Amino acid sequence: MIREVTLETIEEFVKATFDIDKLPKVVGLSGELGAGKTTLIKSIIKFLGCDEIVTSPTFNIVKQYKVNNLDIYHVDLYRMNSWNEFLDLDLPIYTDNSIFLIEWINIVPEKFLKEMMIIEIEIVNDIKRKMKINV
Amino acid sequence: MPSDKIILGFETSCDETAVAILKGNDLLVNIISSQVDIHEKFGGVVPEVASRAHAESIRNIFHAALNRANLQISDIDLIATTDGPGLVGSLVVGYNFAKSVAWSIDVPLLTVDHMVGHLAAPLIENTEMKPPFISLLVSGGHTQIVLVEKWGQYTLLGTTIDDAAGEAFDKLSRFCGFGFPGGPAIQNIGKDGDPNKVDLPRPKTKHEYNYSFSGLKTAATNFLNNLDSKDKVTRSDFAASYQEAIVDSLMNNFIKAVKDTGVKNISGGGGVMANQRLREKINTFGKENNLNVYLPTPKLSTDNAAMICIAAQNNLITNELQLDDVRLSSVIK
Repeated sequence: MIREVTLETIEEFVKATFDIDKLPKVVGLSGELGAGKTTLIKSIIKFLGCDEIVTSPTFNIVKQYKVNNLDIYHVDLYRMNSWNEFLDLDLPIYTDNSIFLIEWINIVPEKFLKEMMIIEIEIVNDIKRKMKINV
Repeated sequence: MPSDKIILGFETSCDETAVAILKGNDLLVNIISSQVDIHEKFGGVVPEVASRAHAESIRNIFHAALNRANLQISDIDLIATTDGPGLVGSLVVGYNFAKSVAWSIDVPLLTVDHMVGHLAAPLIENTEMKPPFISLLVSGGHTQIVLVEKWGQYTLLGTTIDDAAGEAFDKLSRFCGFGFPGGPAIQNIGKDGDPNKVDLPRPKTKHEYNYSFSGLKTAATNFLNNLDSKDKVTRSDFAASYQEAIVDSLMNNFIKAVKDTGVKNISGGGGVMANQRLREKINTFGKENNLNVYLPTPKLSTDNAAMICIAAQNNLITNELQLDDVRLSSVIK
């Protein structure tokens, strides 16, 4: 599925893409610097019902939010060298009541990518982005 | 007069392994062993790598600190350490080391919030600084305007809603291949550049004191992607313009907060406060408006253990710990 999205329609896009009762355990995002990965994740976290200010996890690698029983992990692999380095952090990925939203998945091996919902973001122009979703 | 107790401080919340010893007004030693070399090839700080590097270096730095101060371990009266926020893996190393030393010589262990440490840092060089003051705390992990009405009473007036200022420097620097950390790299490359050459936005947010750097980063990468050789923009011009956009954005909200609150004392801290252009602008703003400016020198702005000592000396502590009580936080309070 491919959708064109702008800042004005991003909430709508998130609503149409995610079902709150059937959330994926891991969402992987790809797209170049400035494509809007963090912006999309902010919108997803808001959709999940969390009011906190969502800031970039690039520096900290992981930021965690909680809403009701759901643990939300916002991860950025930008500064990591390998997927193993991420696994070394020993976070509860693929566990119940958790959702991992991961930026910069280009270092993730194929077999792990298969287990994720992938959203590829492509810059069309200054305001428009193309979102390609593989479930 | 501050107490003459000899305070040994540790700070390992991110990539600096820092140890300091403070006696009264004298900072006897302030050692910062940066892991920048190790992280350079990663283009940032990797938590696992950071905590391993802390574990390898902290003992040596501790002994070097005692030697340089010409002290024996038994001379220490108090130990202070950071208990967050920071990278948990890194915090644990300094925290446990501090705890072990406190236990071995049977002295109290005080814990200090990393951000309170930054707020207290100017006291090392300016013992006369008193609240109320407003501080601009800017680094790779945070970008905050904090109002200190009195010690212990901190109001967060504004914060970033996406990238921290240091991240904005780091990400673009990596994109351009300028180096890590991005702040010093961009400052250096832009030294002789024209800060007005490239027209970049000064992003505003809905909340009057909040910051947003994500749009600026996007605008800068868009500019580079569409760059035409006819534009005649040098690397130096581009770096200077980008730095100017970040510094201007930081100043706009900070100035507004200072004017709105009418506070007469201003200060700052964090790694980005080592940026010369930002320091220049804060000093000029202070001068023009008859404000007292208390900017710690760059070595006391970036993460260091002297700020942990001075906070402990002024009793700006989270806890005086029982030795079996461990709580660490990675959450920015």
